[in-house]
Amino acid sequence: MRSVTERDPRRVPPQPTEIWTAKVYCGSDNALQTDYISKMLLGVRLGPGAAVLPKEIYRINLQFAKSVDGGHMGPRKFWRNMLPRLKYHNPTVDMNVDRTVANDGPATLTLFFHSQSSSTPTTPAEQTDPNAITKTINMKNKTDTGIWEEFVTLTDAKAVRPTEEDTRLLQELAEQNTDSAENSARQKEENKRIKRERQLLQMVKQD
Amino acid sequence: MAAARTPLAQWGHSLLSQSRNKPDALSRICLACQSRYASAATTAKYRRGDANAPTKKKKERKHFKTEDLKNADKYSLVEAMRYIRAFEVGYPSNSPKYEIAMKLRTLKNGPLVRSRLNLPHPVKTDMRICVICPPDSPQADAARAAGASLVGEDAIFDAVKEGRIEFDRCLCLDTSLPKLAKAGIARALGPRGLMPSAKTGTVVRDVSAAVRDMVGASEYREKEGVVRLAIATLAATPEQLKANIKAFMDKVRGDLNTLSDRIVKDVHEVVLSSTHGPGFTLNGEFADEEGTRPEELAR
Repeated sequence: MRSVTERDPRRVPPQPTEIWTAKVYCGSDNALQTDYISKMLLGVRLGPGAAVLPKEIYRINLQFAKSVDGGHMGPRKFWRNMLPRLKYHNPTVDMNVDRTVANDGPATLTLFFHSQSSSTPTTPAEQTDPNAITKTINMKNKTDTGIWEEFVTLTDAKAVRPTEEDTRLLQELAEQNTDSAENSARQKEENKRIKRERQLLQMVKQD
Repeated sequence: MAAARTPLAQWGHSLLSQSRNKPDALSRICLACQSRYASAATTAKYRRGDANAPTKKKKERKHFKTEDLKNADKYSLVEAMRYIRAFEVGYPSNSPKYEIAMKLRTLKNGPLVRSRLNLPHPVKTDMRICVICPPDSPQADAARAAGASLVGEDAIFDAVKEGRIEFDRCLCLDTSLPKLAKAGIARALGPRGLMPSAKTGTVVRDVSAAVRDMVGASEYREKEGVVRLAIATLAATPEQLKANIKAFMDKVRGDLNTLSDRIVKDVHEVVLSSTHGPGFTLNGEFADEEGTRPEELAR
């Protein structure tokens, strides 16, 4: 009855990349289902934003408006999609979002680097560095991916590769997606057929 | 979840569906071309409102359902914190809170766990406390000094009758209790859980001490078999959160033990969550051996 039992061996195996574009998803009514959370958390461990920053960076400040008008959509998306992943892989880095700016105001991302002299990262949470070097990205009128590319070139962040376990989960998810698409297509056909039969029956009855 | 795509599961599935529909159908290929419709006899049986259908009464559940946690993902405190901090990134550190939910193995009826405790690292809330006692007594002055926002008798009764309830907790001096009872505001306060009563420990002799206790205290109660509590602010370090969770667990265990002998309740699951984050079932460990180090989450 299900395609699972007779999977076509010639079928092209699904590519485990779909989740990479997935948004960071939080909340579920179904959290107790086995593996569910671990798959959900995959979206935080991997994807755009999942990168390890060099040790000199100790703080990232984002500044943009509360609503999206005036080119403030990209910064918000960056915060929602990339920043959780960045925070997961760089838990010691302080990340702040200030959304008190007016819509015609700037949208900036400021990076704080420890100066070379004090770059010994014994205290990663060192918050006040008078000699800190700052670099700024103008985020206004840019997409979240555009901001991320600029961020990577500026910081030299190293992207995180999926572990073996992650790859297995990704593969599993991709398979589920293709199965689900197949099933829904088949069911759609089936429903169509039933509907047509009912209509025919109706017509016969009316005659 | 259809995660298990093992050959064994497939085999089991096909076996099941075969036996359900056609006990003697052997070929697996035949499955694909089976009829999808149940026979007329069976549809009649399951038709809604059929008086002749045998009614099988479902046995009512006496306990709240507890899931089997054998296969559930469990996390150490530090790992859970790392994820939660990622989900909460960008919010001001004083606004989101770590929350804890403790699932109990318990009957649906019977006494409930309800108490309050002072956490070692309090979750700061600007709670407004109302104290009912004669407004010009020394007790009233002491209560005001301890942090009560409303102190008085008739003035408060009148305000409540008008619908102005400008407090989150209500205490009552034991000598003022008859006056409170006469005022007839239980109808307004009762449903909100604000009506002072000796049972909840809100009718007291020493008002100022009670207020002081309450200012830093967190209240919790069991609801549908779960005790929930905001356990720490997001700025808490792993050690602070651990201390708070431990204090909470000990307090609830104490509460469970003081219930009557016939009532057996115990802790089934502890879930750490936060204002915007998902929930993580804790495994009781502080940190994984080769996982995140607690120092990394110190800030």
